[in-house]
Amino acid sequence: MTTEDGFEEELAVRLGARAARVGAGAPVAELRVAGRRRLRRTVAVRGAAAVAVLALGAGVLTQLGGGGSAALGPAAAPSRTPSPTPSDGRLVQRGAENDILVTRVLSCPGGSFASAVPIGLETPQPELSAAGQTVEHIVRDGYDDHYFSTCRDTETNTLIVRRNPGPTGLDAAVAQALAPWPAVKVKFVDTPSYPSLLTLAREIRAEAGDWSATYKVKIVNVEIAVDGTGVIIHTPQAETAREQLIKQYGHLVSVGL
Amino acid sequence: MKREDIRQGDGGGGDPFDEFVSARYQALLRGAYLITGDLHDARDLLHDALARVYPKRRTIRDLGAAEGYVRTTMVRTHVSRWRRTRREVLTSAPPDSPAAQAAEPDGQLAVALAGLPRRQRAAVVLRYYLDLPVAQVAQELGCSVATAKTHLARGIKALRQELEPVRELVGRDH
Repeated sequence: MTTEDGFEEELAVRLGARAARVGAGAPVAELRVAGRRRLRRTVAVRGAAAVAVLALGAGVLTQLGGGGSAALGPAAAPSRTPSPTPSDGRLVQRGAENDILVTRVLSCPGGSFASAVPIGLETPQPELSAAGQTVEHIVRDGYDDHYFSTCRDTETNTLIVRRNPGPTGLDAAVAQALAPWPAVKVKFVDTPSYPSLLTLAREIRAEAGDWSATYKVKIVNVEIAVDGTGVIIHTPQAETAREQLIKQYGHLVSVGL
Repeated sequence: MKREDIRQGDGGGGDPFDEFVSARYQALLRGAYLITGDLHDARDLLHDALARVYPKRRTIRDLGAAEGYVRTTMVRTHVSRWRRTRREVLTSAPPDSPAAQAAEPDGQLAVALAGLPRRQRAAVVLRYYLDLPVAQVAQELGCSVATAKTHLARGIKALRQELEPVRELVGRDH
């Protein structure tokens, strides 16, 4: 046995002995009360946020010339540029809005899905919208750890579900949820889950100071890619630091100016 | 429909939250104690994490997974508290008093642990007290495996420097 192994074994024993000094009965009732209090507070905050966002959305629609008549004129047609401010209160809860250096991205990518819009925005296709909302709620409730986002492709009447491709049952749950809308198609896209990308982005953000102090690499912003393919680090030293950043954080990371 | 199904499930069996807390409270508190170094802080940290679990109590099916969630919440909360307050910690709050710790059994270990940065300390506790694999340590710390290994290596190096002189003395006594 090496000295190192011996020290680590001894450390484990000493930690166990130290922890064993702590003994306490579980104050279940007290914890339940605290949990209920927190739940009430969370519900209240979410409700207030949803109301605020709905009010904001209503204001935006009013400025656009009346939401209900959006399909009547070209100026009010669904935008091809995804919006970063969806009207669904639950969506606003998602992401790293409190992390200054982590950009929260909820919009849907363009490219081959140029008309894709995030679930929660108004659409002239109520079936697609309702199906999208249903899918969104189901995967958030049951599969959030494996899920990235759902977008609508209004041209092909398709929902694009980005999720971790593991055997989680998510795909089957989505297919089952879409049964009431047989005309709505679904396309699954393999991406890492949103929580995993958020964890990675937060880790990078947390270590931005170290990069600056140690390597003179100033990380200006960390962004979760809109298509869920990874995390984008923005730094003026992109060219010189790219290799080192990818080596440290893995190939889910891309580096740009 | 989904909401109705969930509510129908409320009636059967005991509350999973109560069962989970009864079964795992002491183990979680011990881990929290090693991570914080203070019993009151440990209770605060654990109770806060359990309050976060409470709204999701109906989804508790696997005690191991729920315990992992609570532990992850505790570790990350502890580290983020440090981030928010480290300026004050560095300037106004001294580390655990060696004199006070010396009165405890294995006060040397307490002092050595208190001297570690919080991430390193949490990594050491997760790896060497809870015997978690490095990958899970990384997951619970919210960092890459490489970063977790760095925290562990630095933590162990610092602990060895603090604790090994004592080991040598013990060796000479025998």
